[in-house]
Amino acid sequence: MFGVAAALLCASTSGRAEPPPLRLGLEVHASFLSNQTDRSLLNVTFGGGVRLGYRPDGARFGGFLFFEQNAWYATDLFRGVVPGVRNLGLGLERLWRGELVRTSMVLGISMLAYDTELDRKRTTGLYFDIRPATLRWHVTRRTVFELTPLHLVVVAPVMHEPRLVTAQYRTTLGLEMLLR
Amino acid sequence: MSARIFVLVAVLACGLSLSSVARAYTIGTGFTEGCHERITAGAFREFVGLLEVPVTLPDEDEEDQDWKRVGQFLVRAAGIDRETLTETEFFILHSLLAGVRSPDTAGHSVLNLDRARSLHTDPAPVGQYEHSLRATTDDFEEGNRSAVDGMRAVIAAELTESLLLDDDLIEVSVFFDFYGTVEVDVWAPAYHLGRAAHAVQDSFSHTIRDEADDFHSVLQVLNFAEAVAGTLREDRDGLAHSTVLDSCDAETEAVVAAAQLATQQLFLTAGEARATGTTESIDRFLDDWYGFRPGCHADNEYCGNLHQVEIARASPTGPYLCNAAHGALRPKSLLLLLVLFIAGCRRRR
Repeated sequence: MFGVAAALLCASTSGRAEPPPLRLGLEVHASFLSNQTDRSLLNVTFGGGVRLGYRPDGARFGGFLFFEQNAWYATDLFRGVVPGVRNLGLGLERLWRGELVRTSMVLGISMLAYDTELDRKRTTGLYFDIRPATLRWHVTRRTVFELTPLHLVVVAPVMHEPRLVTAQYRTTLGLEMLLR
Repeated sequence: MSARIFVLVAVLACGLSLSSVARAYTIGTGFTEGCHERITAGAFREFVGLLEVPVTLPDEDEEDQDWKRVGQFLVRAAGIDRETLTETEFFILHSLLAGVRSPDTAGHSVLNLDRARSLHTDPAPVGQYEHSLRATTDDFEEGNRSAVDGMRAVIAAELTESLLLDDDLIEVSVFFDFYGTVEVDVWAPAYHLGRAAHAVQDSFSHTIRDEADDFHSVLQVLNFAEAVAGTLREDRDGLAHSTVLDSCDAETEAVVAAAQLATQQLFLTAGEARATGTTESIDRFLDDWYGFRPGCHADNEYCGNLHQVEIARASPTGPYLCNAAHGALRPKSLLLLLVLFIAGCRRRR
């Protein structure tokens, strides 16, 4: 919510009469290792996401709506890919160094995408994603290639006992396109 | 950068060597077959019809029902159809399976390498006897005898524990992918019986037994702790632990059948001890399956059991990455280092 509010504030102060500067982001992500106490060394997850954001040209702040599918690879009791979770959230972003670096944060909900051994599909909890530094390169005037070497995502679709809370250290690649 | 590469090599080596990490008849994981579960479930089928003990089931309220969800998974993984079991049989089998898995996981992930290593290389003798292996202090011929004594003590202790418990319902830790450690209800006597069954089954994959008496007598006890440390000297420390003997496939079929028979007799022994309130049946069971036959070694081809020794020697356990005794890298590790070296060269171009 605060991300969108900040974006709207930026938009209102920009004073431009052009169509709204909406931006579409597409990305893929993967994580491999975990450092959670008493967990497997491996925390293999992967997936993709889409974001629709509002950030005026030249503005440092923006806000966006984000959705992603995050699949998990089980290794302990059996081996195989499970659908994992679907995450939906609102985010705030800030650009640095002439749009070369983007810092962002998303807070939202995380929903189980399958029946686990202990909980039902659609059980819903919290989702948090913080990206300290996403590196950006303009591919065309309207398209930017983005690389986030490492960012922290906390996925917690089950908040009651026994809790399902995982911390993922992800690497993400994506494209951001100006829709206007 | 070099530190990162070392960590990466270690992670890859550990991942590729997982079958070595999960020693003993394997428990069911994403990388290993559920030998312990299969043997236990097989013995349970034969035993369940004779079971006449009062079992306390958890309350029916929602918070206490996690055991059913965990149990369904464990029972299915053991190859048993839940629908063929009554509620009581289901709870007993769930408790047995939780128990038979516990010595290899202690409620942690099998890929929690730090925990796995400390669990499996426990320097305390009892830590090795729980898996029917030699302790580091069990040297030479006398070491075989003391290891067998240690195994007997562990099995007797778990059986006694299963008979003496006042509170029949206990909570134990079971590891679930993504959740981590989950506490579930088990029936304590069956849980401890499962732990005893683990030691009994391991005593078939971790020893050389006498084929002439249908694998009842123990001739040699294998060594994991010193094999994995790279300090094993066979004349002093015994044969190295073997990953082939840990499997439950065609090559080890006869030994696995004997392990299943012993597990079944263990269950009957526990039932008899519970019914009579004496430990006579436990002593009889241990004398039947844990007799030590001395004097069987390489010079006399292990009293005609060379075939088992050859199987054991086909895939001996060693250090995961480096051989500390010889300062040499293992072939698997060399391959990994080669891959990383090539990757490094390609990056420099």
